[in-house]
Amino acid sequence: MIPKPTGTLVPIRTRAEIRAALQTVNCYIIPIPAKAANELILALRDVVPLHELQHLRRLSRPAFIPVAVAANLPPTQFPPEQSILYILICTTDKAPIQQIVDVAAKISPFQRKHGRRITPKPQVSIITVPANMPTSQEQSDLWSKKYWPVVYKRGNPFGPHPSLVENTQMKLTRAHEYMEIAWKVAHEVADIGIGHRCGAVVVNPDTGDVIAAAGDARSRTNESGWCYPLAHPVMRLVEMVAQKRLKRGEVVSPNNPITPLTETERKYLNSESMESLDGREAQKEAQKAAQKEDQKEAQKESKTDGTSEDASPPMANYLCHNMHIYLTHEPCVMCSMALLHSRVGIVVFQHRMVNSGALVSEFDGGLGHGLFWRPDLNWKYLTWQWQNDTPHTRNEVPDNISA
Amino acid sequence: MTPIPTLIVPTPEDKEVHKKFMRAALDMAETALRTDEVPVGCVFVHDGQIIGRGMNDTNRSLCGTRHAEFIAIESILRSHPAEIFSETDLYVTVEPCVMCASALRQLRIRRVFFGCLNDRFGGCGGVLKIHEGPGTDPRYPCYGGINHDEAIMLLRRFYIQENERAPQPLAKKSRTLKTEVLPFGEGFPRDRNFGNKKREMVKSVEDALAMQQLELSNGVPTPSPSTAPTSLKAAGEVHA
Repeated sequence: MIPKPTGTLVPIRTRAEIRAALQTVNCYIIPIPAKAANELILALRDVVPLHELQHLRRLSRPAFIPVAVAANLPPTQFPPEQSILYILICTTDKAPIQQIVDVAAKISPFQRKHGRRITPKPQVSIITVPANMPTSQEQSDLWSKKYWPVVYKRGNPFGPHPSLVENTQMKLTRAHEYMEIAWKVAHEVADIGIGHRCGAVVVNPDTGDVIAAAGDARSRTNESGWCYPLAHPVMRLVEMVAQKRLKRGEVVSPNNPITPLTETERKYLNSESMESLDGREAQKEAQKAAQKEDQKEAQKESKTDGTSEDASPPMANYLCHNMHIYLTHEPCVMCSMALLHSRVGIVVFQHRMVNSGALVSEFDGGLGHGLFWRPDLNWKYLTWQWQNDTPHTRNEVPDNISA
Repeated sequence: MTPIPTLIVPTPEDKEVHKKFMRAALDMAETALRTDEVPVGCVFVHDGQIIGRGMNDTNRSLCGTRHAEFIAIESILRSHPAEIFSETDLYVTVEPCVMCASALRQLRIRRVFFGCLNDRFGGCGGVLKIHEGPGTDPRYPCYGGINHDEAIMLLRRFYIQENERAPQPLAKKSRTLKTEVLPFGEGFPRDRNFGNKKREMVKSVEDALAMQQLELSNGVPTPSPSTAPTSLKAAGEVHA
């Protein structure tokens, strides 16, 4: 009996998110007596009409400035009993430093005063700060310790919104079951010697039923003795879904028909797990038709010009629309794009393929494509890495192959 | 203007040879058009002989991966070992998509010649450059712009047709067949200036919201305009 794997889902960060986090800009800061802060902000209005870096605090007490940053700042010329604030003025490309100094020099704390030994001069310093907003609380805390006090507003302009990721992740309660099936089929194909120990499973998002499971088959030879090197688990999986949709007698790929090669593959390819999708479809279509009728009548009554387009046909019987995919290994460029072409909703993979994987976008020596969420491609899906350490799910695939 | 990602046939070979094989690929695309498939066709050429032909088959097969290249590759691999691709050239009417570009690299294709670029999901310069850059398999040279106008006109003829299988019918009645074609590579990359962050941010927020709506409607997928099913279309003229 194989023990039940327990693991955790770790969301994969998008390419834009990783890049955005690496961008920094230089900013002016200036120490000022707390009482005069507003005066200076008003005086600078001509140069800085708005606080543009909304993710950074405008004002900071000296205690909140990171030690490494504070070490490079000159000592303030104000008496120690005076409460001091640092103001973040603007990015250095907005105005030359001299202009800032000139404006600041005109306000009251920098004027000669009777009874004061030294007249302080404006001390404008340049610091480096993150150019973009943080996309998590952890990142925000880290930046506050490294650069300047940061404000975290829950959001992510560079990828899926955190609440979308969290809510979706909470619903993936059966991930371990599906990963188990992906491993089962992976072991089956490897044990009969037709492919690497890689497997894939596709799940109906509405019912949780497994629609198909596919293992790697790139070493399997045909009647002429040649193998098909592109028979990766994902490619076979996507074809299985299409094959289940097609009418009897029709074949997805006549020159290379998809056939179940193992017990598990056969079980799901012959299962009726597609029915639920189609059944749901029929129901929805009926609903839509009814709605249309209503609309038409309403239109007749109100005599509108009828410019509204026909209601769109349902998407659920279209390719692998919104389906959930579970993979033992991070897919290669070809397979990641096949999933994108197939309009899948969610991908969960276990083992990172540093040399060939196309989903992870980190700068860890990998390809860095981050194909699952790119504004320049025409579909996006959410992606998680499944982390667990069960002996039967260890990676046995050489790292120079494309999974 | 960003430089064109691929050069126009800088090989010493006779241009007419390339045009001849591209003509065969265009014929395949014509056949695809007649069967209501996205008109993309290809031929694989080994030792001056066509060893495999393919045309898009996504609509009939209900499978988004049945691109012309895959159809041809499968027919070749029935009777040849995969090693043949390292001595084989591909002629395809539209730039290979990201998936096909990777497949060709994994098969160690010798060279790729294509007609027009694909600004939706091209993998040889249109969007990404899968044929070069890091990877476990050798890079391959890519040459675009061969019979480029004809490839584009085929696609345009397709887009003014009705496609009853498309899940989201678009208002096509008002569409007309445009005949003027920009020179190869012009207009690329479209809206893909990374400096234009605002646009990109707005778009990803919209997409996130769209997906959220999908989620909120309790898994009942409602197609939203920004997620229009365009996989069955190559270089489309509809922009979400």
